[in-house]
Amino acid sequence: MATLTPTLTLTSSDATADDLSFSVTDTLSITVPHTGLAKTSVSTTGANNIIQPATDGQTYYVYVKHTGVDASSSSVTTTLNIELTGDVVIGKLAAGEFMFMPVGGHSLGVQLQASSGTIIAEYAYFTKA
Amino acid sequence: MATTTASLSLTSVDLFDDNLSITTSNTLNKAGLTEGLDQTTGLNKTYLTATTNVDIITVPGATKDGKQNFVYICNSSEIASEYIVVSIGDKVIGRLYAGDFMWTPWNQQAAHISDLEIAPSVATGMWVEYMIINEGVVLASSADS
Repeated sequence: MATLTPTLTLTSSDATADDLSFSVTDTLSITVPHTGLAKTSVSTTGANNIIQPATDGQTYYVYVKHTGVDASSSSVTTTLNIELTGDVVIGKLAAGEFMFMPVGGHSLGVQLQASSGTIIAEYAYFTKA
Repeated sequence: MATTTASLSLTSVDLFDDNLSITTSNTLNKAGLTEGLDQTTGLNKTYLTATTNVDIITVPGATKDGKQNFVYICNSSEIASEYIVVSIGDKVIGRLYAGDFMWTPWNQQAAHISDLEIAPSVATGMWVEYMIINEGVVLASSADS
């Protein structure tokens, strides 16, 4: 069993009249299977881009980042869908944006889908011990 | 125009033979624009004492499909076995155990189907923090009776 330490920080000096500045850190116990930081070319068919297998009730921590380039390394402004398998859209990442969340308690995996063309995505997943 | 920055680091010294250290950061912009997200719920803290699903934000009617939204949720419980189930409508996303947090984009696709919902695993009381940063939501109309 290993330990993963995620830290999220949100800051803004002008989103509200009071400054936004907070940071949260967690200590996660991780078991196999897990990935290192992977990169993949995502197409417009989500079912062809499953990055995390079906959970079978297990909890996975999933990280995804839209790198802002396509398979030919050209800059793109298209969005990257984050979906549960079966094309259930959770949200959409624009170029440079990222997400980190737990997925599980059901039998679905996670897939990615480009709104058009291809998008290079970075991702990793870690299994809760 | 507001400028809000989100940063994430993922580190581990024992997942692999080599240390893991991922760091990323971006400013939060409106969909398709370089203009910052300018609306937020602020940081909310709530104490839940029932295991029923509750909306932390409702999509009541006309939606903001295609607009960008980011969601932060943290289970502030200190009891390791306690978790909250996070759902979008009737689709379960996952479980946040004690101390766990999530940061994800959220799509307001359709009324109520896209409601952001949480349900504690126990009814003995659980603290939850959450915040949504977005470019607009439709607020539910008043109902006085």
